[in-house]
Amino acid sequence: MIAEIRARAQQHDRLVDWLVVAMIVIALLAGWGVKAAAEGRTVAAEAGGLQLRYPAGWLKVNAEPPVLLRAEEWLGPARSVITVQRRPLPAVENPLAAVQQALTLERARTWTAYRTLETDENAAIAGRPAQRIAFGYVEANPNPFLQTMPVVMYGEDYLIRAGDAVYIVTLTAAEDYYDRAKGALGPVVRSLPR
Amino acid sequence: MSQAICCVCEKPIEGQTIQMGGRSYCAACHARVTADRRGTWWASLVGAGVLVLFVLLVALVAGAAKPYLEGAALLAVGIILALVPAVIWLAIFYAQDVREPEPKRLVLGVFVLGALLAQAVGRPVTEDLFRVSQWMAAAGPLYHILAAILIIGFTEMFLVYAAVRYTVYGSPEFDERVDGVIYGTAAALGYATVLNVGFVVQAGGVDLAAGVIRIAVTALALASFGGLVGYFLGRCKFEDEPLWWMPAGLALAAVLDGLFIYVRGEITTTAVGLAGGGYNPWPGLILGAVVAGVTFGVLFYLLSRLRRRIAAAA
Amino acid sequence: MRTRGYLFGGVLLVGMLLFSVWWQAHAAPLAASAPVDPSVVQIIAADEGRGGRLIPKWSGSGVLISADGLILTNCQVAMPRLIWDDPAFDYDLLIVALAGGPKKPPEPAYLAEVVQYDAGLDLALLRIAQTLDGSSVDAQKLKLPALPLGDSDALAAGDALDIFGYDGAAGKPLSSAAGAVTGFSTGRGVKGRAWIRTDAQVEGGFSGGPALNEDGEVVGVVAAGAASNADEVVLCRYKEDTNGDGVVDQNDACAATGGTIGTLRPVNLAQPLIKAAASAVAPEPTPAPQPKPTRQAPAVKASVGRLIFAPEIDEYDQPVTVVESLPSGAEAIYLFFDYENFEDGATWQPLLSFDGKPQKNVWPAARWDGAARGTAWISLSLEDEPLDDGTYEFTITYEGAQLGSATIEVGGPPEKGPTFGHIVFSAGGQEGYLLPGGITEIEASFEYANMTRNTKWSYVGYYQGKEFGRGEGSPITRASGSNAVSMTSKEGFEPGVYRLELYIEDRLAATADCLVGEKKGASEIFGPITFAEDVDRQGNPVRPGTTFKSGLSELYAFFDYDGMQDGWEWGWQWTINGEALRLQKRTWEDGASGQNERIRIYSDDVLPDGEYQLDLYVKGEKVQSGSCTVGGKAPKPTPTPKRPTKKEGVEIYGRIVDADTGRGIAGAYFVVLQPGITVADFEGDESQVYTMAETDRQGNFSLPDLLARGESYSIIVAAQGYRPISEDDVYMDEDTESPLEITVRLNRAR
Repeated sequence: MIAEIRARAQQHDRLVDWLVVAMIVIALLAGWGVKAAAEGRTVAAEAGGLQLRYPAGWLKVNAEPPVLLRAEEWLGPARSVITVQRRPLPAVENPLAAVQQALTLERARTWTAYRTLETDENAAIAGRPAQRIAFGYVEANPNPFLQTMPVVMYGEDYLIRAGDAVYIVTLTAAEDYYDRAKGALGPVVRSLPR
Repeated sequence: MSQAICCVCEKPIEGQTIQMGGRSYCAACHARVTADRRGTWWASLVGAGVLVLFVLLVALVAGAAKPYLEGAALLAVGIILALVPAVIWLAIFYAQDVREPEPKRLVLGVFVLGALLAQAVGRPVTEDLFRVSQWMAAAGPLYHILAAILIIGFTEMFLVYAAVRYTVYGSPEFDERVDGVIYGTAAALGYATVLNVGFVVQAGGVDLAAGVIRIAVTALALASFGGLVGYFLGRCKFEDEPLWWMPAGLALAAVLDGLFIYVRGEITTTAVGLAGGGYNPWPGLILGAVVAGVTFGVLFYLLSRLRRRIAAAA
Repeated sequence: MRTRGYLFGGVLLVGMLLFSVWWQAHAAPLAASAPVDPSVVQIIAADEGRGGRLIPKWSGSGVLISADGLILTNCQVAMPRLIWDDPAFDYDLLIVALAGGPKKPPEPAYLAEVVQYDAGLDLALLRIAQTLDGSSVDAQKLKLPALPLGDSDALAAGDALDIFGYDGAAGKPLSSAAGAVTGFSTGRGVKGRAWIRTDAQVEGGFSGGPALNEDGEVVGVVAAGAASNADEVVLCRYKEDTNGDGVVDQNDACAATGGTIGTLRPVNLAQPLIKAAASAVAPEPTPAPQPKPTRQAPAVKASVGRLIFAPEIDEYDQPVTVVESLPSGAEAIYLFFDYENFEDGATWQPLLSFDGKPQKNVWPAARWDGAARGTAWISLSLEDEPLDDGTYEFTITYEGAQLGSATIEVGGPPEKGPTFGHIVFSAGGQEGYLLPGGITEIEASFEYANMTRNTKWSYVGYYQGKEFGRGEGSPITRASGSNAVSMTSKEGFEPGVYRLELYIEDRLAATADCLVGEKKGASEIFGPITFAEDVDRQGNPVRPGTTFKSGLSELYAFFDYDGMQDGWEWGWQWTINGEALRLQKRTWEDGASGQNERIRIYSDDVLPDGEYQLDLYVKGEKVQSGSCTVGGKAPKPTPTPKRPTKKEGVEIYGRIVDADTGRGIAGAYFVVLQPGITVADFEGDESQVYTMAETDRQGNFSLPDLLARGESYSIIVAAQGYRPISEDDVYMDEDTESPLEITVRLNRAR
């Protein structure tokens, strides 16, 4: 009898526990959804005849061809920057490799300690085949009046062929924050023409 | 007819069996359950009042004297300030000993457990997994409120719930409804203390006036909502409440917690102009005091009414 | 129950371990690349364009020969302007691209500087000096994979070679060509082997690439030698807009020039350069090969004549003596021949038959790259052993036709007959092959041996192939010694090639040529003056012109010279807007002729705008002048949108702090929107921003632009983790203090 009553109370409490746990799980899942929605908000910008999407809250910065879009995550330590370039495909045997070398030549002089870390010809981004180039460099604010530390930056280029052009989607961010910033690539790539 | 068992002491009831809310009590336990625990309430309300007074004092002294502190000293002062709310509450609670005081060891244990859960689970989940404070303010009010409720509110309140539910809840020492409020408050204060110490340490020391206000407001709010969770826990143990009772109570506390976070931010943020600005901490303190007063007042009223009704039924 | 808990915990732990192992394996970098020789580098010459982007001009190959970054390549790659004088061969930077791995394009990694070069040998040594961003490289830390140098003299015909290089097409990985040594040849001015010939044919981008022997040692450098026009410089050049985007840049493909190469420079020839580089001696400026006239249109029949043999040559490339046979044990035969109407680019090849049996590939078929007429020599020698006794017949073929042949006998004891040799010309205080212009007497000293009192001898002098004088030698009384003949001309010797032949009893016993330079009028000594803004590493003008923008702090003047003599007094004088500056006097130390002698005028601040005239003087006589304009038609700087001046505007600086802690927030922003744009209008577009500033580590900021008085602005202050605050219609009135300090407190997000 004692056992029975105790069991009944415990069973009730256990059911309540499960309900509470289920509710917490649902709440946190919903919370994750809120986070994904908040971080996944994008805005569109007209650039080079395209509607390119970039994360909301980032600052769209004036850019000159071949850069179609340049958006910077101005708040926070990540210093993420996403750029989209469009270039004609070089008429050589391996055009993407040529573009890669061209990118290095353009950057290496002005980006401190720039170096290519890894190249993957058969990568994919947002479901599209792309050549991925990982690189690193150091960003230092040249203004001597600001007390800022140089930041080690990590970046990835995704070279995506579309017709006789190549789109170069580049994301750079402070090394420690790169993985978080990576979500910005998807919407941009999806807004590129096939 | 089998013998009834007291739902508190879990012993076969000798003599008169008292039925209440669908459960059986022995006479001794019933007397305890329905005892007037005015002192407990005073502990909470006086604690809140003393805390507010302390904050006013520190803020005024800091504002007038502008003590120059740096480095380790500033950090030490900040940590001491962060511990003050818990110390005040525990001291008052200990000092006023009513008929059957809760075992002090258990209260302290739940307080420590609340703190441990906050450090081991609460902060990692909200700050490292969800990184909630990084994005919620920038994404606009709706996201801000939703994130505060769904992520912060539910996590905090669930951990307070867990700190009580899986420890003292099943023990014979949890023998009154009001015990739920006491243990819930203790767990929440433990949680708040970790948040406050973490805030101080992370910032490497705080501005004394603004910092002590933030510490007090965090403690007041969490203690209130922890007490609310405890209230629902207490009634869940001693009454045949429907299955949704506890989840609903927890959800209510979580929503209030989340709303509080948002509203506190709203009312303490001021306009910015050529004279600077951006922040006024005092409305936050008032809000915290009001929330604590109202919450504990309402809980006190509800439990007193319940007790009177039970006494009348007996 | 408890057991089950432990079991579950155990499974979880093992699972986590497995996961972490998988993750690490997954995340580990790819395995080391397949064996592609990482020591072979691509050398890219580039200009530095707008914004520091590098625009490649051509590429070649090179090989790392020391771990601290010494690279052996050829001069055509490093300094092609020394091979063919064309401003298209100027560049700003030499980029070293390292092998990127199998199937991967070379990856630009360093900048190199030329430390040693020899334009005659077409070899150059580079040293890695900087990373691409311009920071210096600590050579000791480089630890690059270098290849050992082999002994090119140990190579024999038939040895296998692997030739590596980047054919230059953008994005192409390292390629290689296998071949075998087909022979060696000698060349003017080179003792021993001047060229290694192979049956492998590689393209322009390989230029400077290494040839490895079977032990993997570098034994040769792909090189083609002289060129007769810019397109014959063997390189891979970016000179066409291949992708049609309107500019020639790194996005275009490079095109191999100069045809295929089958010749290698023996690596032993590079040893003096390497030694010099090790001793950190500045490169000895080798006289650049002079531009060769382009192919002459009328094809006149080519011919050769006067094929003579010599056992040795002297330091002026003249036969030491003339022989008709050589004794047993002779180590080398040198064949001298006169040629006429040879055209640049035509193929020619010496053939050899020994005892009537034709020998294959003793000398490679080569493109002619000398003058149309003159004297040339070829040599025959074996490695470390004397020539076999027998009859050697040399035949010169040109465009497939045999133009002439000569035979020499090797064998028997040394001859005891009288001999002449070692003719050395001297005139005007100079000795050797090159004699100054305007001289009236040339003396030729020579040595004799085994003479008797009765031995008759005579001499004949030629000018440009035509006899202009002869005479009988006065009897020589001693058996051996030295003697001299002299030639005089009252009007002075015309510039050109003079030849002296010495005969003993009608037998040609010795001969030598000398070249008399032109007598220059003083006004022809200095070429026209070129003005330029800057000078590159090779001493060439950068952005030459006659009109320069304002604000230069220095200006360079360049001129070529020919006919100068060391020790002459010379000088220059600048005149700015009609006002002459002090005459600068110097003593000439730069030799008889050269290019791009330069003069600089500079200012600690900026050079004043105006007309700049430069006059050059030699021995007090004005010989050249030129002028340019600074600040004249210089493009005006693009007008920036009007921003308020200090008086009209409010300067804002201050701090953004955490409201609760009072500490500065790093990376917070103070944003002022364009007038008329409200906070609600702001969509995160820079064009909507009037000015903005980021806080530093202390939370300090300072707006770069002033806010105009009488204008209203919207302000946003934000930082990650904090509630952004904003305000519309912040009005700057006439009385607003400037500079204005603002402290903004930001509330944490929670």
